[in-house]
Amino acid sequence: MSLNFFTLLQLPEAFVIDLEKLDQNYQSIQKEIHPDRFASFDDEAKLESIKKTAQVNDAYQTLKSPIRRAEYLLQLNGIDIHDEKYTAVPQDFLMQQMEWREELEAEKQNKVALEKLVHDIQKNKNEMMSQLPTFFDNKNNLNDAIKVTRELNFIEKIEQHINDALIEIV
Amino acid sequence: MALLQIAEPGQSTLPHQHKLAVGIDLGTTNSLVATVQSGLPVILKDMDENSLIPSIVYYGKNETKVGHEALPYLSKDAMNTIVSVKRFMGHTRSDIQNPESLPYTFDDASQDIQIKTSQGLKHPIEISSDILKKLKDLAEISLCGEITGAVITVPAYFDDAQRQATKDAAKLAGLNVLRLINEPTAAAVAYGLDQQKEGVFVIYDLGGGTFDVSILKLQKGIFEVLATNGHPHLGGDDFDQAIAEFIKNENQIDQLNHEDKRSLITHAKSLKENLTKDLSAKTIIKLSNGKEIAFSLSRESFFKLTHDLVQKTIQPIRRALSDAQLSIESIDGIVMVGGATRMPHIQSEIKTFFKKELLNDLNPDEVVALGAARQAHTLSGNKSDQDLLLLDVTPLSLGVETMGGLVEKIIHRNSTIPVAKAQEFTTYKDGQTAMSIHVLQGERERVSDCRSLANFTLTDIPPMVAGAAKIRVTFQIDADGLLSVSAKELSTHKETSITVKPSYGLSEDQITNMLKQSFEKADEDKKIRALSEAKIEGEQIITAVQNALNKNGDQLLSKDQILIIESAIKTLSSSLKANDTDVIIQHTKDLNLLTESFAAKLMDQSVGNALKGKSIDKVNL
Repeated sequence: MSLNFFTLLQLPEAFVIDLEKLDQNYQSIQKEIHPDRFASFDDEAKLESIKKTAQVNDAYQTLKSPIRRAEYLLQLNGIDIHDEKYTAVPQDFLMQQMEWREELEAEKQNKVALEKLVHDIQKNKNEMMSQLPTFFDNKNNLNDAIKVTRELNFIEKIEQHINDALIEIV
Repeated sequence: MALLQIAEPGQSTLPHQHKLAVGIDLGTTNSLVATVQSGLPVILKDMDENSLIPSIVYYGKNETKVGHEALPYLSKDAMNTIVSVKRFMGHTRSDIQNPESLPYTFDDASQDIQIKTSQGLKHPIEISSDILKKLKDLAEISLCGEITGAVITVPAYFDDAQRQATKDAAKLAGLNVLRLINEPTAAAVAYGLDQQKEGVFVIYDLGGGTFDVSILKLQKGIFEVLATNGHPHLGGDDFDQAIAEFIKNENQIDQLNHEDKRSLITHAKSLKENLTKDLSAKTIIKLSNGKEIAFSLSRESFFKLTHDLVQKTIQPIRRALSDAQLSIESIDGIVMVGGATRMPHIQSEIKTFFKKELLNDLNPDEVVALGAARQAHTLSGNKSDQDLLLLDVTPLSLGVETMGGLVEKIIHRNSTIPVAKAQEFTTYKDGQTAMSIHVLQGERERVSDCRSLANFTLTDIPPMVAGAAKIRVTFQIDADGLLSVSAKELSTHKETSITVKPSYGLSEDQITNMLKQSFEKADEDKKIRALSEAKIEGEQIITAVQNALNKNGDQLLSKDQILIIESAIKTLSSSLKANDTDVIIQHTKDLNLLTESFAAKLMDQSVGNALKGKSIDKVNL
């Protein structure tokens, strides 16, 4: 890890962050280092500006999304949630997943049903998300943080699939 | 009457602090060039007061004609008169749908699109560059000076190959490309700055041959694109085509020569335009066999005929909204861009969809070029609009081929650019020393459904057991939306060599050759050009270094270092006044050498300065 995203965007390293400040800091940095500011500089400066801006963009996108932010905080603690050792998923969550997927398949053309499904999933997601701050507050709960972050990853994917299906319904 | 002052040919009448920069809208049917004058963007016109230049090139035996001058050849010599070349950019021959319906003869020998003309084979990049040259000349005549830089607009939904082709065309036309920017973003700049708007806006851009939709957040001069989507082959041309087909079916005409087909399209276009203001329109078409067809079309049947085309624009809007995680209610305004949005049924359909009035008070044909001019003005270092910043996104996901013909996504669509992502690869067999990587762009899962961008081979991998070598490949998309790739073997830290073979377009060598050919026509011309290029480059680096010094020089360099650099600047600027190309090049090199490694330091310093003086509640490190 070459550069800490929190340090780069000058925010305290925590799960709960000031999103407004994140936006402000991101924009201030962009105004200084974006390649458009170096259009009349030499190639080396242009290249450095691209590299740095890409890094800042990565940092911003990671910290802006609660799920990416959680993943990143775990990563800073030496945990890669995509690693094989964390692949086990609790039975009940697996069942829930399958139910959702079956419903998506069955109701692919049904706008009302899909909208209700998204709504239910979102409720679930919000509940899980609300647990994260405490898990991260006390680093002893990192195992719970891993579990919830992994589950949120699944939820995010199925949400995407339902939204894709909704778009296809004319 | 006062005497008129006339500058020496090729030299600007203005002192050097004002750089002549233009914005170019290189459109499917029409192109425009604009610049900023006295702080306001204006469209530049040709001698006949035309601002819209038809994107048409005629290749006669001994002459090339572009724009209005090429128009008469459309119905006289369709084979040698190329229209809508933008639709071919970044494509191969197999991408062309119904090539037999087009009046051109394509070269069978090449996978690339090469059109046979009376001047020989013409590549779409060359044809586009002829249009760009025309616009460059128009601008230089109108502004009485040499253009130092240009911003060229491309559809937001253009992929890497199409963007690269556009940039190559500009290079071939002798333009210094300051930036490629997306058409809807350029339009937003024109709207936002003229009307001081803030909020979330949808830009609906239906051009002659492309459809884009972008969702932007405008806030204190920052134009942040949240999501973009589109249709690569949908535009006003398709509406003309629909009318032409209808006329053919209604009148049971099937065998038409290419000139008649063109004439039919021209009539269809004028019917379409008339139906924007009138409830019905009629025309009489004279075919080459002497037959005359009188045809009339009501607005209602035109709407019915093209309803599906309008509907095709709705899906991309919904995708963009979903990607931006926004509902229709959270949109503050809808900006209509592109001549095709004048059609009343498009206006009403979009108004109904968003349940909001549309913003269409700026000329939809001009707004893209005006925005591009503004951005060109800022980028070329003419101070103004310092707070203007465009944060755009990449329209399509980028990935690599994995086992089983599937695509593993590395950079997701709608990522803010510039973006860089690294992916680690490993070897499959013991002792393997090379690895082929196939880069693709698109949203689908299968390789065959995505667009192949490049195949490259990593060589010189140290031989190890399978799975031991770790190669990190970094994919970078720059602010023009263009991809570059670099690779490193991690266990030995050896930078591996990469040969990127573009799947489309021209290679660097081909472009160099084309440029050479066009210069070699006159040796003297070439010398003048070399001198002028050396001067421009010299001026550019002086500005660059001075910018850097003014920004943070005193914090990064010692007084002595600054003095040395300043004296090198003086040496170079005095040689710029003389006309010795070699001396200028040498002094430019000297200055370049002195300022190396300054860049990385400058960037870190800039991040620090951006946040200096901001309070930080708590820092956990």
